[in-house]
Amino acid sequence: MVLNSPTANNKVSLIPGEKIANPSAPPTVTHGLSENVILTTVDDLYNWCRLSSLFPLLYGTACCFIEFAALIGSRFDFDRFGLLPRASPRQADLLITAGTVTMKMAPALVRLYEQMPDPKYVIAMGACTITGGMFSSDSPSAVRGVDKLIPVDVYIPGCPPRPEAIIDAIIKLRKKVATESMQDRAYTLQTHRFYERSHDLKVVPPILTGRYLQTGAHSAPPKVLMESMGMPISEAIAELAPEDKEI
Amino acid sequence: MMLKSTTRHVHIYTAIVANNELVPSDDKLTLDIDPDNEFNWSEDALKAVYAEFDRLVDAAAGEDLTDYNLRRIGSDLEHFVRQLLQQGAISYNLKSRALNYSMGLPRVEAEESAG
Ligand code: SF4
Repeated sequence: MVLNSPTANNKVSLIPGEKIANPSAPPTVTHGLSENVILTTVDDLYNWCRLSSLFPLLYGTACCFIEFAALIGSRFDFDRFGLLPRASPRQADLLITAGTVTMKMAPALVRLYEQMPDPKYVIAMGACTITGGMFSSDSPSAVRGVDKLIPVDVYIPGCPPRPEAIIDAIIKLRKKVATESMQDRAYTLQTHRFYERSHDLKVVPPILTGRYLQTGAHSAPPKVLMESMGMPISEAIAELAPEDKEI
Repeated sequence: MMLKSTTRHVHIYTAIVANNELVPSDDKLTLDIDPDNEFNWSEDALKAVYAEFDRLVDAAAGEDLTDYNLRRIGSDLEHFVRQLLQQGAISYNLKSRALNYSMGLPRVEAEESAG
C-alpha cells in the first residue's frame, strides 16, 4: 500500500499529477534494543502485570470528571480492573484527561505527562479533549483536542461519556498493552532537539499572578444587577447608561 | 519564573539547558522540537524550523516577554511544521508511541488542488 511505502517520496503507484499530503513512514533510525532477542513469554508476563495494574492520575478539569468520579465509586467499581487512582504523576501510568483543556492549562498538562514514568498511556475522555467539543467553534482559549499536546492512545467520544464508556476504553487500552513488545520500548522514548538563542523581548513582571479579581475591575457588579438589588449607582456607572440603551 | 509554551511539536521555554535540566533564564529562549517523535525529522527540516523560529523571535523583538507572546510564536511555529508535513518534508513516524495523525490524515492529493 502506498501509505506504508518505505520512503515518503516513493510515488511509484501514484498517477502523474498526484502527491501525498501528510505522508507517513517508518523511522529511519534503528535502536539497539530492537535487535535483541526477547522471549515472547517474558513479554506476555510483563504486559500482563502492567495491564492489570494501570494506575490513573487523578486529573479532572471539567464536567467529564464527574462521570470519572462516578466510575471510582462502588456502583461501577473500577478497582476490579486493578486501577487505583493516584494523586501524584510519579506514581501514575495512565492519564485520563477528563475535561476541557485550555491554553493556560496546557503547560501544566504537558508537565504532568512528562513527570509520569514510562511506560505511560493517555486516554482522551470526552468531546472536549478530542476536538474541543462545544468550544471548538468559537472559544479563544480551548485547546482543540489534547492530541495537539500529548500522544493519545484511546479516545472516548461523548459529552460526557458514561462510566461504561470509560470501562470500554480501559479494556481497549489493556488490549493495546497486551500486544506491546519490549523491543519497541526504545522507539517510545523522548528525543530532545534543543535549540537555544537569545532574544530581544522585554522582560516584564509576571502577568498571571492569580490576583486579577483584586485589581478593582471586578469589584462592582453590572449596572442592571445593582439597580435591581437597590444598590446606589455611582456617577461613573450612571454615565454609561446611554450606551447600555443602544444595545 | 520560567515561562513556557508547550504544544505537542513545539516546546518553548525561557530557560537554558544545563546538565540535562532547564535552568530559567531571562535572556535566552530554548526551543525543543517534537520530543515525542510524532514525525520523522531530517536535518534540513529541523534547520528550516530553527530558521523560522529565529525569524519569529526577531520579529517579536521589543514586545513583552509573556506567556501570550510566547504562545503566539509557538502556534505560528506549529503552523509552519504543518506546512512542512503537507509538503512532504517530514512524515508521520509509524513507530511513534501513539499514531494520532494529529495534523491531518495522510491522503492523496491532485496537484491542482494542493495548497
Ligand atoms: S466533553 Fe462535555 S462533559 Fe466532557 S468536559 Fe467537555 S463539555 Fe464537559
